[in-house]
Amino acid sequence: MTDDQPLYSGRSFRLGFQQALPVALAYVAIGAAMGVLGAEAGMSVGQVGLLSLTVYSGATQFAAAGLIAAGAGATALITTALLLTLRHLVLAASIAPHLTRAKWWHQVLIAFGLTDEAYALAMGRFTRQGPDLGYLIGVMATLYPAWVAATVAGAAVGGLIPDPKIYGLDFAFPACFLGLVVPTLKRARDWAAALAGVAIALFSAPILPGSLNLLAAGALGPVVGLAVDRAGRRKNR
Amino acid sequence: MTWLVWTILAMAALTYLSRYILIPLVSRRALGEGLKRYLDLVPASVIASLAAVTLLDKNQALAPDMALGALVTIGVALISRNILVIIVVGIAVVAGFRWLVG
Repeated sequence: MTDDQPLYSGRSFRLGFQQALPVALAYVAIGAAMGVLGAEAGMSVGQVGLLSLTVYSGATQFAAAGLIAAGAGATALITTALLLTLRHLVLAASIAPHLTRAKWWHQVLIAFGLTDEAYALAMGRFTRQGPDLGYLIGVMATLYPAWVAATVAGAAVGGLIPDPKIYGLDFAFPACFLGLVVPTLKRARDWAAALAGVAIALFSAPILPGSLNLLAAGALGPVVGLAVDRAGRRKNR
Repeated sequence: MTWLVWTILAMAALTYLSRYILIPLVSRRALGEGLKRYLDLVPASVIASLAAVTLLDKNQALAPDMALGALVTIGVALISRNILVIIVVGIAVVAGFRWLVG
């Protein structure tokens, strides 16, 4: 996509909507489980709904339900949310160069829906086709309502909801991430960044609180990729 | 539980800020070549680490159903770029394995 091509089109919106559907299905299953946990922790349906509508982050919401059930107070909840959400800094920094032509209110909107899955789907598209706001907004328009509705339904009807593992829906997230990362691994530096990211995320998980391991992976993995790239160029000289 | 409503709103503000704050800062600047190359590699690193983290269980172990699903998903991703197909096949393989093995 070049600079004079439209940043938004109905066609790309529909494509984003369509390609996010299997992830939305997983959001429904996992979201319902989150709603059940929230209700069991003593939250009302309204509070679970407010959490999904405003926070819109699975990791933070599951942690919040657990903390509320354990009787934690506001400070513990807010600190945990901060630790779990810091990884979004890396996602935002890497998606930002694709949003130079986006209006400020597009950026405001996109930031709200920047979940891990929306980011992965969007970057899979952006790295191949260039910036495509329609696609990203289509993805968000599928995922957000699915998550909010599922968490509220989970809190309201609780035990009637089956375990998502029975249908393999818990595999939708790794499948989404693997399906998006594999085609991007073309050069030695891509492989180095990806493998270093995985190693850092896994080895630092027991040490770092919240999702700081993902922040470390996102920030340091590319440094390894760049080092491999530099070594390769030096060798070719 | 009014305190909980205010706490939820504070959590929402923190989450939103972490997602938003760098977008206008980075998107408005002319980035140097080195920083551009660095940011180009961030998605591979982040998405691969998310895949690894979501594949493993709480004890950081890889269950056989997830391992099989990952192998098949990688195989499909090598021949198809259709993310819809990749995810559906992955889910079907994991669900099928669990149904067969229990």
